[in-house]
Amino acid sequence: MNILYLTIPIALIISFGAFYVFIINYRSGQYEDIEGPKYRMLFDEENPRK
Amino acid sequence: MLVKTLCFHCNSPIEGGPIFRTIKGEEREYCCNGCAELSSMLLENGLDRFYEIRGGQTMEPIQAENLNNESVLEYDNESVYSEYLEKTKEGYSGLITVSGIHCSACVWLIETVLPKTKGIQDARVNFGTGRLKVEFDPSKVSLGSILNLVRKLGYSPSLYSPLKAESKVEKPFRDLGIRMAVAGFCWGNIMLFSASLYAGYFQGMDVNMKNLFHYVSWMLATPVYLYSGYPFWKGAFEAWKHKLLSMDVLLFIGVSLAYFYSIYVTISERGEVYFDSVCTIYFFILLGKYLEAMIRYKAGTKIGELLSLLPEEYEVQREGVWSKFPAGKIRKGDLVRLVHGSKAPVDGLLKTREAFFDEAVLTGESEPIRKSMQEEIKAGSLCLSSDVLFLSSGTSQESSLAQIGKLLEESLLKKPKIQRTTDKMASVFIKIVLAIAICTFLYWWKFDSIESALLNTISVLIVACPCALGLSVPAALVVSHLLQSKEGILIKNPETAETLAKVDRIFFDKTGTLTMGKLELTRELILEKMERIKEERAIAVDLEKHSSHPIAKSFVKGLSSDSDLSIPWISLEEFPGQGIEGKKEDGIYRIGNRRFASDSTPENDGLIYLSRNFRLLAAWEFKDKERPEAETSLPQIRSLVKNLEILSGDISSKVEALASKLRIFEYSSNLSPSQKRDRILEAQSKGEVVAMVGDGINDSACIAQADIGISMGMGSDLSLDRSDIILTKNRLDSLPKSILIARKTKTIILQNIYLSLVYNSIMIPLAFSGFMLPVICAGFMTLSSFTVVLNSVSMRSRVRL
Repeated sequence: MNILYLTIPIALIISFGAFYVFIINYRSGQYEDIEGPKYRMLFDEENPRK
Repeated sequence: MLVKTLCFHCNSPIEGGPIFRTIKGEEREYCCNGCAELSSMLLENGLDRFYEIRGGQTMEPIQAENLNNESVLEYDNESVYSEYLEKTKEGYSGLITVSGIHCSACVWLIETVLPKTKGIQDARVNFGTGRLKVEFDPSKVSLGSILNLVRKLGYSPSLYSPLKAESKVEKPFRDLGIRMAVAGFCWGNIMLFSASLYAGYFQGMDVNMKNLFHYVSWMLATPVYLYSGYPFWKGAFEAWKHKLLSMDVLLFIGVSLAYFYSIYVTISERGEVYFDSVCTIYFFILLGKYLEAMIRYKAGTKIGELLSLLPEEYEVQREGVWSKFPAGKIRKGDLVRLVHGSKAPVDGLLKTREAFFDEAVLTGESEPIRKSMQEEIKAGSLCLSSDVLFLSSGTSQESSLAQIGKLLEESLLKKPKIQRTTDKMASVFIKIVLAIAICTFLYWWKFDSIESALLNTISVLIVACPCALGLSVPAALVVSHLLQSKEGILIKNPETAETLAKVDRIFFDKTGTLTMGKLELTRELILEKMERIKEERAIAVDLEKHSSHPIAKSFVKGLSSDSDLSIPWISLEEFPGQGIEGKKEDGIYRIGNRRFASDSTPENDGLIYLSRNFRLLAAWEFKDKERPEAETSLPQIRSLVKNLEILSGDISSKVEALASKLRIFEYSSNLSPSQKRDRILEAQSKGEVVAMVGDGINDSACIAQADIGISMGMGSDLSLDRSDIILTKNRLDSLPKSILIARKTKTIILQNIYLSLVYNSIMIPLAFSGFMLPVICAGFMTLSSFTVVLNSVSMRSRVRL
């Protein structure tokens, strides 16, 4: 069971990392339009966005 | 019958003669000039893909006026830029609300065409909100021309001010979301360790492992305690400053004790920790708050859109001199000139003999309303006649529209009354609990050790933690909100649910509420020679096309199928409220009510007549259909609320027929809006709780007067400011459901409060007498919260219709 002393911190670091990414995305407004992307991927982009 | 060809652009059936255009060697058919214009622009610029993406969807036909209407409004001045736009590195970025987006093809079109224009760096449409975010370089392209471009693509743009709307509503909302997310994330993780600790408590566990779990739990609970709990400790300190004991105080003390005791346990390595309780309590309470805020936020943005008036410049006469002023600079006593299509910037009195206005922003009714001299014009109403003069009666901040905005903000900040009641209960409760805690401590200290005194005191505080009481109202309200919005019911103000549950009498408006509010041609009478009917129709339609009267629209729609002749009129004149007259080589044609058409004095009978040289040629009758769901939902409403009554401004025979059909026994007809309001006042003075259901056309006053104002439909951007409830599906059968849910919510809130009080009154004495270990207390505390939440959730299955 000693392996838990290693795996628990690792698991926590990974999950906190993922959560941090989520918060950054949330703040930047990436989840505001959850309808658009599924249509937008079907458009051919003649002039890709910078 | 012939199969109607579809318009190449908007895909709707072509009524009347199609318009042919040859574009790039192919002949195509269009329903109107607007579509043809736009389509040829698209095809010539190689944007054919629009039609691929559109697929078989039907769109609204393009209004030709939209295309040709070069902006009459002034956007390109410093004040507009600073108010509506945000400065970026390369220029400006702004949000434009685009109405008329139907499908992905529209989005594609806007996103493709706009960046091709010189100076526009990026354009992105948000599907959800229908808002276009555009970044541009003001030295190459002006805001006005961007708006014009969007208009030319067939959509109606208006500016959206992020500074105005978002900072007030959106930022706190987003903050709350993050606080909740943090609490939820930590809660999810901490429960894993808690479960292990609980198991360890009963089965035994290695001390080092237990300590590790304690430290991990501490780490997870800290951000929740400090960050997610910020609103609560802020609330608690504020209450403390004002010498109040609110729910926040009790919550904060309970959670803080659990938190700090747990830290003490972790460090001293003795006893059990309660970090999981900290997370559980905060997470569930925040979740409730978040869901509630989300619903209010949605209502708020909708209203915010209505209020985002276009910034415009107006020709104003001040002290005898005409000059241009932006809307914000207009003062009381200025004479303002309105051109066709501009919005009144302030409230005022009409100084022109007659004019037509669209008051959709205020009332939801987009049909033109006739105003005569000295009548009041409300800010925000759209001027449909040209060259209208009116006298300002205040600044734009004092206008009715600005008042609406203030009311809205207030309503978003309100706490439901029952929440305040539980707050009051909590403040009594907390005093008792604190007293008991002190007694417990002293008692155990005197008769036992200091350690058992501390342990039992914490047991009392944890078991008495009012989280069940704290959850009782929000949990029920959230479930109720969810149920209501699923049924297409938008409740603007949480207090409404309480009043709605008590309603004794419901008043209905007739047109638009019990009926569809759409006029349909039902009868055509030929009064002269039969063979000329086609020509007469064409004349009638052509005449009505020049009218701005509401019926004219329905008329053109109802009859337009076989007429698209353009008739060479020598002159045309409209007689507001009566009809329209056109001179042709073979005589004077008039269309309108009977008295007007025949130029004599017969009674008007509600029909529309066409005459030549005052001899009646034909007549048409229009009828309003009742709502299809009215017949089934009214008995349901009656089973909930005994007294139903129709208040209508329509003629009595029509009201009577509808009332008997729907079995509503009380009704009155021929009422003016103020008479309607008097009737509501009368009912209220008898002590009845009154609801008014209307569609906002002329019911604003009644809707505001009634204890509960209910509006039909969201699509027409109703008098949202006045109504408490909006039936967004625009269906009457939402109403009984709404009442039922409101009643159930009230019952459940009361049940929740009783449940938590009963639970506390059993558990506190047990904890006091030392029968409870803190860990068991925490278990019971969670249990009590779950009972309350489950009881609220069970509302779902308990509301059946």
